[in-house]
Formats: sequence, C-alpha cells, structure tokens
Amino acid sequence: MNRLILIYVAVALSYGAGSQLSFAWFETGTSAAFFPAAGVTLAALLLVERRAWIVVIAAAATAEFSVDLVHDISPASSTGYTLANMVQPLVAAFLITRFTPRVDLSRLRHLVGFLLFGVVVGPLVGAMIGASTFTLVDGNDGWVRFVLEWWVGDGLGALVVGAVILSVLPWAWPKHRSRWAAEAGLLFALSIAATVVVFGFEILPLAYVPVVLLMVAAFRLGTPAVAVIGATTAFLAAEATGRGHPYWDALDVSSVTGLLYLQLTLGTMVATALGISAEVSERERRAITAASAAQFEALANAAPAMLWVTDAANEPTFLSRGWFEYTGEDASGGLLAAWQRTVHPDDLDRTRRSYLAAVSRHEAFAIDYRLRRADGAYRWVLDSGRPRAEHGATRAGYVGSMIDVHERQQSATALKESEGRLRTLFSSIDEGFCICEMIVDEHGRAVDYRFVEVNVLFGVMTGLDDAVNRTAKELIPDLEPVWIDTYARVAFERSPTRFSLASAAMGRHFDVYATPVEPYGCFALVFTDVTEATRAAQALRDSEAAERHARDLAEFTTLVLTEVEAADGVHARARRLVELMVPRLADVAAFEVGADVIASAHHDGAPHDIARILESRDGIAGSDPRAACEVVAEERTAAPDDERVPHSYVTVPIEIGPGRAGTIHLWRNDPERPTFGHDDRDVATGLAKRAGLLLASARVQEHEHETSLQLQQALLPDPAFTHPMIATAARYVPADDTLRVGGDWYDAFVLPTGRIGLAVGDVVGHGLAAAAEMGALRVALHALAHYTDAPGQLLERVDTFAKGPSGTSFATAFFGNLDVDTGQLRYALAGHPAPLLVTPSGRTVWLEGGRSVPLCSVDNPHRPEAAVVLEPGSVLIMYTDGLVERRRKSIDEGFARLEEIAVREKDSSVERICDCLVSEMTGEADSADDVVVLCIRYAPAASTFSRQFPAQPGELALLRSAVREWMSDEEIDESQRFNLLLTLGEACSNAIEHAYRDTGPGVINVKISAAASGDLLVRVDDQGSWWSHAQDARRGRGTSIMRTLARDFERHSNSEGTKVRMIIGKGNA
Amino acid sequence: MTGPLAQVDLQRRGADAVVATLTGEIDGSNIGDVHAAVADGTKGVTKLVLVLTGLDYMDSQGLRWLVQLVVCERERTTIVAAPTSISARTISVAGLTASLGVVADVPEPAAPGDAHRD
Repeated sequence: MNRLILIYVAVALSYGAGSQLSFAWFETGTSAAFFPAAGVTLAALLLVERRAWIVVIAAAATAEFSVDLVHDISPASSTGYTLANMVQPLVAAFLITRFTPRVDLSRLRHLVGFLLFGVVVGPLVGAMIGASTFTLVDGNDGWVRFVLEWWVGDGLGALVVGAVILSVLPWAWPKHRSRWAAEAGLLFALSIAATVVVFGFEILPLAYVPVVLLMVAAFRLGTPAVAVIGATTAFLAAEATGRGHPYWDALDVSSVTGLLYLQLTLGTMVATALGISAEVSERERRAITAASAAQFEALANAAPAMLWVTDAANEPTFLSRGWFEYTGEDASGGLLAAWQRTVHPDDLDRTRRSYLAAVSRHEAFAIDYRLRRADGAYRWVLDSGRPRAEHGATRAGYVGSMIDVHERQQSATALKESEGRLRTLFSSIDEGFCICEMIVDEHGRAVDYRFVEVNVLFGVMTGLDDAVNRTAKELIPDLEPVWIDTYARVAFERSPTRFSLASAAMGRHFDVYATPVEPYGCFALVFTDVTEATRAAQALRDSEAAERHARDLAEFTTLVLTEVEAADGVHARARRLVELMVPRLADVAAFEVGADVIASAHHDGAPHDIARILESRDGIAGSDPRAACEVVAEERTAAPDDERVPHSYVTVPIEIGPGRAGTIHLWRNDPERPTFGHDDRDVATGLAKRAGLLLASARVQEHEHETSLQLQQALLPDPAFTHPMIATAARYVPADDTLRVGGDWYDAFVLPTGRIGLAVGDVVGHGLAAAAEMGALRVALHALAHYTDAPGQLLERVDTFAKGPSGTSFATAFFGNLDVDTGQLRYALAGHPAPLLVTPSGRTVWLEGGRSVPLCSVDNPHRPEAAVVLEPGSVLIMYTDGLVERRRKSIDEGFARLEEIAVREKDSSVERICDCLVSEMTGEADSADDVVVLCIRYAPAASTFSRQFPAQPGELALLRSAVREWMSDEEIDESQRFNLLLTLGEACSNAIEHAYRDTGPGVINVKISAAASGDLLVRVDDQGSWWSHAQDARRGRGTSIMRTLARDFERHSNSEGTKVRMIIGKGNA
Repeated sequence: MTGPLAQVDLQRRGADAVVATLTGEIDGSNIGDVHAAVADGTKGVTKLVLVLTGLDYMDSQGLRWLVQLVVCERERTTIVAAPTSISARTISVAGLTASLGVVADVPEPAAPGDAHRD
C-alpha cells in the first residue's frame, strides 16, 4: 500500500514538473514542442505491474488537470487534454508490454518496440485527442498542425525522458562501472558544452558536435548514457528555443517551425543513438556468450568427465574432449551419430526413450547404459542431464555428463541379478515386494512415489489393486507423509532402512524393509502385513490378564488337589474339598452322596443349614440338582436384610468310584459376588473330576485298609469271649501303629472239657510277617488245645507244629486251662514271662512253674506243667514282655511295677486293670515292642445245681421239678426260667432219646451254675455219642430251640460222649 | 405216669365238635399218651379245638405232635394258646405260631359253656 502511495506521489510530482516546464518553455497557446511529462507517464507504466497502472494514471491525471487549470485552460479543455495525455501512455504501454514484457532498451528488439509504440504510436493517438479538444472544445483551427506539434513534442518527451528513466534503473547498468562512469561523465560534459555553444553562442557549424558525442556514447557507453545525453541535449535545445534565441532565424524558418525541425532531428538522433547502442550491446552480449561457451568447452574438455550439450531439438551440439578420448570416436556424421555408435545396441533404444521421456517432462534424468570404450569394451556409464537454464527460452536443450560407473555397475548388476532371484523368491514367499520410483516437485521435494513393479502378494498385503504405474497418492489419497519422507531418504540418501509402522489411511500395519535400487530415486520394499500379528500381540497383551487368571485357577486347582490328597479317607477328603471351594468358588459348598450330605462348608455370613438349602434348592429356577452340571442364576428376590439367601447355584457331578456318584452343590449368597458363570462351572467341574479320582482312590485305600484290619482282626481271638465264671479283659498294643496286630497274641476259649483255655504268646519280630506267624501259631494252639488238657503236652504239640512247613522261627508262649468249678489252673510256660496271680487279699504269686524253652528253639524239649488253684476273686495277669521291658530299665523294675499296679487295682474291674497296666507301664511313647495284656478274674458260681440221672424219658419231669425247686432259691426271673427249663429239657431229651440207643441206658449229668452276673452256665454231659448231622436233622427243632434261647450254645461230641454247654443269660429272651 | 404229668379234658360241643383242654406238662415221655387221649376222644368229630394255654411245659416233642396233628387233620383242628402261655412261647420260639394257626381264644360257636348247656 505504501508503495502505491509512493508511486502516486512520485508520478504526480514528476508529471507536474515536466508539464510545468513545458508550459514555461512554450507559452504560446499551442502544443508543446517538447513535453517531458509524456516520458514520465510511459516510463512509470512500464516499470510498475499492471494492477498499479491505475495509480499511475490517477497521479498523472491529477497533475495534468491541475496544471491545465492553473494555466487558465477551461475545465472542458483540461478534461480533453487530460484524456489525451492518459490514453496516449496507456496505449503505448499496452502495446510495448505485449511485445516485450520487461523492457530492456539495450536490446534492439526491446528498443524497437519502445520507439514504435511508445514514441510513435502512443503520442500520435494522444495528439489526435488533444487536437480534437483544441479545435472542437476551444474552437481553434489547425488540427493537423496541432497533431504534428503534439506528436513531436510528446514523442520526444517519451523518448528522452522515458529512456532515461528506464535506462538508469539498476538492472540496466553495466557491471564494469568505474571506467564506464568516467567516460560517460566526459561525454556528458562535452555534450552539454557543445549544445550550449551551438544554441547559446549561435555557432552553427558546431551543431554536429552533440550528434557525434551521442554516437560515441551509443557505441561506447550503451543506452543509458545515450538516453541521458540525448535528454540533456533535448532539454537545452528546448530551453534555448523557448527563450527565443535567434538560431532558427539564421535558418530562415519561424521559431516554431524551427523547433519542430529541431525536435524531429533530436528525436531521430537519440533514437538512432539508442539503436546503435542497443546493437552494440547485442553484439557485446553475443561476444561474451561465445567467450563463455569457449571457456565451458575448455573446461569440459579438460575435465575427466564426459560432458555434453543438446539443443532445443534434442540434437547434441557439444561433446567434450573427454568423451572423444574415452570413446576414440570422431565427429564424422555428426555428434548424434557419433553418440549412437558408442552406445551398446541393447541399451540404445531404452536410453533414447528414457532421455526423451525426461525431456518431455522437462525433468532431470539419470540413465545408465553401456558405452563402448576406445578399446572396444563396453563400460557402464551413468549419464545424467538437466535442462539448460536459458533466459527467455522454455526449451533450451540439456546439459549433462557421463561417468564411468562400470565397477559400481558390476556390483549393481550382481545386485540386480540377486534381486531377480529375490523377486522369484519373494513371489513364492509370504512377503510383499515392490519397486518404486520417487516423484519430486519443482523444488526437488519428494511428494509421491510410483509403483514400478509389484509381486503377487503386494495386492494381498496392501489391498491395492493395479498398483503398477500408479502413484501412492493416487491409490491412497490420505497416505501419511511419513511414508513418503521415509522412502525419500532411502531413495535419495541411498541407505536401506527397516521399520514397522501402521498406516491409518491403509488400515494396516507393515513391517518394511526399504532399500535403494538403481536408478537413482528408486527404491525397493519388502514388507509384510503384520496387522493381524500386531492385533494378535495386542490380543495377547489383553489376554495376559486372562492368562494370569487362568494361572491363578491352575494354582488354585493344584492347591485344592494337593490338600485333598493330603487328607486321609473319603470323608476327610470330601470335607477338605468343599472347605477349599469356600470362599474361592462359592459361599456355601456341600458334598452329597446319595441323599446324605457327607461334607459341607460355608463362608462367614453364608447360610450353614445345608439341609434347608438343599430342600429349598428345588425352588431355585426349578433345577434338578442331580442333573448334569448346570448353572442357575436366580433373580435376587430376597429382601435386603436377608442377604443370606443364595442367589446363584451350581451343581457338579463327581464320580467317586465305579458306579458311585456324588454331587457337589455350590451356592453364592454374597450380593457383591457375581452369579456363577460358565467359567466357574468349568473350574468346579475340573476340580470335581480330579478330586473325584482322589476320593475314589481314598475309597479303595479305605477298603484295603478295612480288609487289612479285618484280616488282622482274624488273627486275634474273638473279643466276644465271655464266661459266666471268668471276667476277661485284654489289651493289644502293636508296636507298629499302622497295624492292629504284631507278633504277640492272646487267646481265651472254652475247651471241650469245660475248662477255659488261656494263652499268651510272642512271636519274635513285629510287623505283618510276625503277625502272620502269630496268627498261625494262635490258631494251632487253639485247635490243638481241644485234644489235651495237659498244657505242657499242648506246647509240645504246638512246638512240633511250629517247626513244620508253616511254622515260625522263634516264639514264647504261656498256656493254661482253668477249671471254672474248682479254680484249678494247669499251666506251662515256653520261655515266657511268668503270669502274675493276685488274690483278693492282695497276695501275689508269680506263676513260675512249668517252665521250658521257647518254641522252636531246641528239638523235642521236655515241657513240664504246673498247677495252681485260684481263689475265687483272684486276678490272673498274663502278658508279653513288651509290658515289662523298657529301654534303659531293668526288667525287674518292670515286674515290680506290674506287681505294684496289680495289687493296687486288685479290686478293680479287669478292664480297668488292663487300662492301668497299659497306660502306666507303656505310657512312655518309646515302646518298641508289641504289648499284650490278658487279665481274668475268677468268679466261680455262687450256686450250682447238679444232678445225675438215668437216661430215661421219665426222668425229665423229675429233673424239671428239681430245677424248679433250685430256681426258687435263686434270683431268676420268669423268662430265664422258661428258657432254662426248655433248653435243658431239649438237651436232656436229646441225650435220652439218642445217646444210649445202642448201649442201653446210661447216665446224664446236668450241671447248672449261677454266675455272679446272673447268667446260668448249663452243662449236660452224657457218655453216648448220639449226635450226628442226620440225627440233628431229625432233632432239629430241639437244637433250634437251644440255639435260639441259649447264648454260646456248644456241643462237643466224641468217643467219650457228648457235652452240651450253653449259657442262659439273665434277661435273655 | 400220664396222669400226673398231663391232663386231657375233652368236652363235646354238639354232635361233631370237641374242645380238648391240655394241662400239666408235655415232653417226650407222655406225648404218645396225650396224642392217644386226644385222638380217642375226638373220633368222628369234625371239629377239634385244642386248648394249650394251661400247659406248664411243652418241649419240642409236643411241637412235633402239634405239627403232625395240624398237617393230618387241618380241616378240623384249631389250636388255642394264650399269647403269654408257656405253650404259646414255645411255639413262638420254634417259629410255628402262624403255620400252626394258633389262636388266642376258643372260637365262639364252640365255646365250652355251650356244650355243657346242651
């Protein structure tokens, strides 16, 4: 804006000054013979851009109109003159700029345009407008003359003033300034002097001097100097003429006419001088161009590189000496032919086409081809060219150079070959491949790239179809600039790169290897669409939480299974399982087998009445808890204060062995907890499946254990042994607490004679093997005892048995048999510690008689026996050495302790005596041996009924009568009476009916003992042998009645007779 | 010996019914006599009611007789034994209460009182 104001002011002032000068010189009322203002307007128009012309015109019009008014010219006339003075430069400037956009008067063409339009045509148009104003508006005559005067005056003004203004501008000044300035100053001074002499002193012969000076300036100093000198001369001449110097008088013309001539002459002179000057400039310029071309040629020829120049027609105009030397060619047939001769025939066509393609785009290019060297060898050269920058010409040909790149090319070719192989490879592998060419804008900036070649997978990887020969931005308009920038670096900086980058525009993520390839500006990409992989990686990260969760679950599962396995037994394992499921999986858990809840667990605040929940479970979404695993999420209907109501329920079947299934019920009642999901169910199912195996194995183990215990129990005597006259108690403490038995044993049984067999023994060793031997020994002793009442003899027989094939290695034993009626105990010891007898008074007797060596120790030892009579109420303590032998204590201490305890507890029950002995004597937990204690108290019958009678039926009623009488003194209730009479009757009836069938009447002995306990021991003996299975069948009803009503019904029959022994219990049905 | 051990009281109930009431004891020594007494006293009658409630003793020999009696003369024989009686308990011990068809009381139509009134 400021510039436009400046233009306005400058133009207005200059125009006003020029116009005022003209008025000052020629106040004749006619047109001016020299009008400098015309040059101001024209020059101004030519110097400013077109859009500023209006400013120039406005300024000039303002000035013109003002000056005219000042000089008393009517407004109408002023308007007309102003119009003329505006149209004139506009027409001129328009035509000139059409011809030469920017005016350089040192160029002939420009000068011609300036003279023709600015000096001749423009002023003529203005002159006709002005003359019309002069004649039509002002009413004057002489239109032609006015036109002529205007034309000459304004033409001269345009010429000299315009030329000066245009010439003195900076770009027009020559470079070699100092010498030029001195010369210009001298010529300028001489011109002024000559003009002053001619017009001031009227020395007419000198009138040619300024002309000569003008010509000298034209040749020597160029247009600026000519313009300045010409202008100065014109001003001076005009001044002189205006002052009325009689110069023209001498020529015999009027001053006005003379001035006209003068101006024409001056104009012609200046124009000529300018023309000469322009011509000189042109020639100089050509000379300089030629000189620099020679200089280039010299440089090019001296350079090692091979340079070339083509013209606008693409014909080579120059090939450097280096090229000729390299190729050994000459220029015969022209440079083009010479070049074509040297290019490898296989490369010629390609090269030519690449060159023409680049030229058609007016782009720089680089082509490699094989060039024949002087020695005939073809060498790879890189031929690069760029458009020549020729002023004013759009097509000026190219200049370029060739460089031998053979060595490099060799490796490049190898690279290309390997690239070819790679391409083959890439087409068969899972990667995308493409070769691209970078596209740059006019500033050399990479803006896009073109796909030159792609492999099959390219389309798959990128989703781009038909990519070849299309650019990236055509295919992906929104392509992120980073791709182009990255590839531009690869293509132009020639360094490969590898990166991984996502393109939002493509919606894909690529792993890219980008490498530069020939030619320059190209690059190859090997890439993989890793979108899925990236997503997968993301998904992996996302799943890490899930994985952690799964790991937690796995740990949980492991924990549960470990703990469950650590528990012993089905129930303990089931309990552990449900305990561990709470609260991790559920708030309440229950384990149901059949209809029994065998285990349950609940979290704090959770309901614990499992039965109630199970009852109400049918209400939960109608689920069948015994159906296959299911998840039931129940709508929470409970009131807020009743948070205990389960809101979610899952059942899981659990197999705990073949054909044996249970159900695990899980509930959640915590309102904060989510309802069961299928993952919970899966966890529970997995747990149940594996825990089920553990439970099943526990069942098997328990079963095995049970079996083992039963087998072990079978090695021990029937603990149910009772006898009306003997209170019996026993304790068995195996050293190995995993077993119930060891090598020790005891036994108590009724012998056929009615005596009570009592045995205690000890097989050396512990554990199952000793237990097995013990069992064999015990059974042998029990069985053999039936055949002898002599304990020593029995031990001998047992010894014989023990040495047999199924025998033992070494054992000690005590055996005694007790007559319950007399209290006589016959006994023998085979290496065994002596039993202790304690009388009711507290007297103790160690039963040390009947001693012999242990079993299986020597051959056929003599085994004596001893006998002792037990006082009623006496306690007999039999034991194995485990009871009395303690580590670091003498066995005598053990015996003393045993005696002490026995005496102390002599009035206690046999059970308590056993307990005291075991707890007090084996209290220290270091018992390394099995311990057996067998304790009896002899309690003979308080009352006994005995009767011997002939075996005749009629005796039965008598017997019944006698028994009734005996019973009346005893405390025997009605039921026991009935039982006694009937069983006794049946026993005797049997004896009478069958015992003596073949031998005649014998005797039947009946003995009924009333024990302190109230039990009745009934014994019926005969000397016959009536009993047989066949008879039993016939007599079945009687025997059946005895077995039903009596306890411990025993019948022993041998050659000596039959003994029936039975106990009619008190209150026994 | 029979006399003191067991008594058989036969009472006619009309033309074809007899109520035999046994008291005392029955064992292998007198079972034959008891059988004979009952059999003789009930010849030709179509209904025999055997009342055992009063027995003081009866063993498996008595049971054996009862079984034979019921098996052979099932149509006419009814055994009566009060539940707490010795005979009833003996029968019960042998597990024969049901198979012998033991009833607790003498059936009404053949009540002993009726016979006397006849």
